[in-house]
Amino acid sequence: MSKARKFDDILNECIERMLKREPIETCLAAFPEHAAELEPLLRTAMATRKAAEIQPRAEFRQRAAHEFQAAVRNLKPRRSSSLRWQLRLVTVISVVVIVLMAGTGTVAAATNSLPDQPLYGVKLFTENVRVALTPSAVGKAELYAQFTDTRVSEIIKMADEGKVAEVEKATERMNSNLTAITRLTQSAGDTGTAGGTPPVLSSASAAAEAPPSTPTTMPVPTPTTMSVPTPTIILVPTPAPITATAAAPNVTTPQALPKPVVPPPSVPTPVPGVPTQAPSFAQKVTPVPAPTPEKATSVNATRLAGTQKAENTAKNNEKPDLQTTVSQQAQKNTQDLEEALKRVPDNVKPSLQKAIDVAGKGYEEALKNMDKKR
Amino acid sequence: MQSEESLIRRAQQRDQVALTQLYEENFDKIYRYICIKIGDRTEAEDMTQQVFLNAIQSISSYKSKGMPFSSWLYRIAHNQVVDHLRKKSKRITVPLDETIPFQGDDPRRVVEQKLAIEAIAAAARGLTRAQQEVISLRFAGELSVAECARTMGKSEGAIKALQHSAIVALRKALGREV
Repeated sequence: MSKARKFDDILNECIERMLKREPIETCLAAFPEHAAELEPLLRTAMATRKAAEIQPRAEFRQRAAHEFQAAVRNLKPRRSSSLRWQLRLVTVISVVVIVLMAGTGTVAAATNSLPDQPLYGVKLFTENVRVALTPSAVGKAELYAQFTDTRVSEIIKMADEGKVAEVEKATERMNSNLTAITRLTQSAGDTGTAGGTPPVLSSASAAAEAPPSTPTTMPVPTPTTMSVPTPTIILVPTPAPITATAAAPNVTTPQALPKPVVPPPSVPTPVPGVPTQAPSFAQKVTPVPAPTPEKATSVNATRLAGTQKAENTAKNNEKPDLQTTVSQQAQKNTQDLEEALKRVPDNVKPSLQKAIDVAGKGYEEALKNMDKKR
Repeated sequence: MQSEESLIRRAQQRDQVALTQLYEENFDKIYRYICIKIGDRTEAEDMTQQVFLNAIQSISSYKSKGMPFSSWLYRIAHNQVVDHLRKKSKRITVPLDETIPFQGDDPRRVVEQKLAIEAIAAAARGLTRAQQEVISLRFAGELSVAECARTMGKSEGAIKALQHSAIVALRKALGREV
């Protein structure tokens, strides 16, 4: 211990004694070797102590006490600590329950909302969240297939109400969903020749396109339902049959569109041993008894394979795989859209026809990729 | 300390008796502490009153942390003094003699004490803030070195050194009058 430090301790001990009313002389006697240095300091300390012995005036003391008591009386008694915690807990739980109920209710209400309704954004957001929370590519593709179904329902409802703009927006979203299915099935199989055509092409370019064995690179749009890349859509006057050898119809502008001629739907009777085909698709598809990748140069074979697989799955009582599901959806949705086309107002028909084309091409691409993957 | 903790718990539940007891125990010390620091009796009275009004408003958030309750009150008082001095931006030279207690009827003793206090009050103005704080807490607040250390956030050794240097400085300023 340094000398200065030691002296600090001695001085402090003497001050403590002095504060306890011990005379200075007692301290000096206790530390005779430091007495000369201690004495003036202790006298100064004593004087300081006396100076600090200031007493408040009686008048002030009385006034201050009165005001303090008044302030104390105005205080509301506090609840006990445990009761406060219980109340806080109840409050927190109540808030959480209310938020959860409100949130769940909003999401539930949004589930059935349509594109022209306020909660539709919540619905799309929920879909995005579901996709984000699904880890596997196949799981995501299944979700997009499900969302495509939803988009088709929305298109039909909006078309029934004559809302052209909403039909077109929903068509774009459906196209985005189908593109995502195609992309995801590619990435799941990843053959290294990832490609394919955009789901929607002009009739001219579709006709001029090479056979499916030489796919072109497909731009991969962001799989979001909020912002969808606008596909290139050129309306065709009539729903031309889509086959590998289909001739390219002339590209026409929407203004020059004649009224689409829609063939009446035909509901085929399932025949044992013959693949079940949806009416519209069936009309477009040349029946191929035993489709093989080599022979199925178009999506017809792919669809057929999917249809056959669906039958087989049903027979085996298995859970349908993605290809089967998409194939069935393709048939059903196209059929629903074409049936809607017959009853909707004339001003909506071009948009709805566009949706049918988009759906057909999108499903083609998705199924084609799935088939290639196999 | 146990009894003080119990008293504080009751005061935190806004028990009037406990609050009054804490007030009575600390009122004079807080007044002296403020009075020595600002040197103005009237302002010291107002500020002392305000310290206790602030204390009862925020006593529910008080946590002992092993320190005496008075340390918390000194902190409130210190903050008020700092605000006060900042606002005034100048040192106060109000005589302290009006606050001198009349200890008995001996006029000679009263005069002596008055002179001593005036001299010390003037000398204290030349101390550093830390030295002033130590002198205020030790001699007006009656805190121990350990309590001063915790209140000021310094080591006990530092408080002892500050105490020593403050007394030396006071003595020099007093010109060996004391």
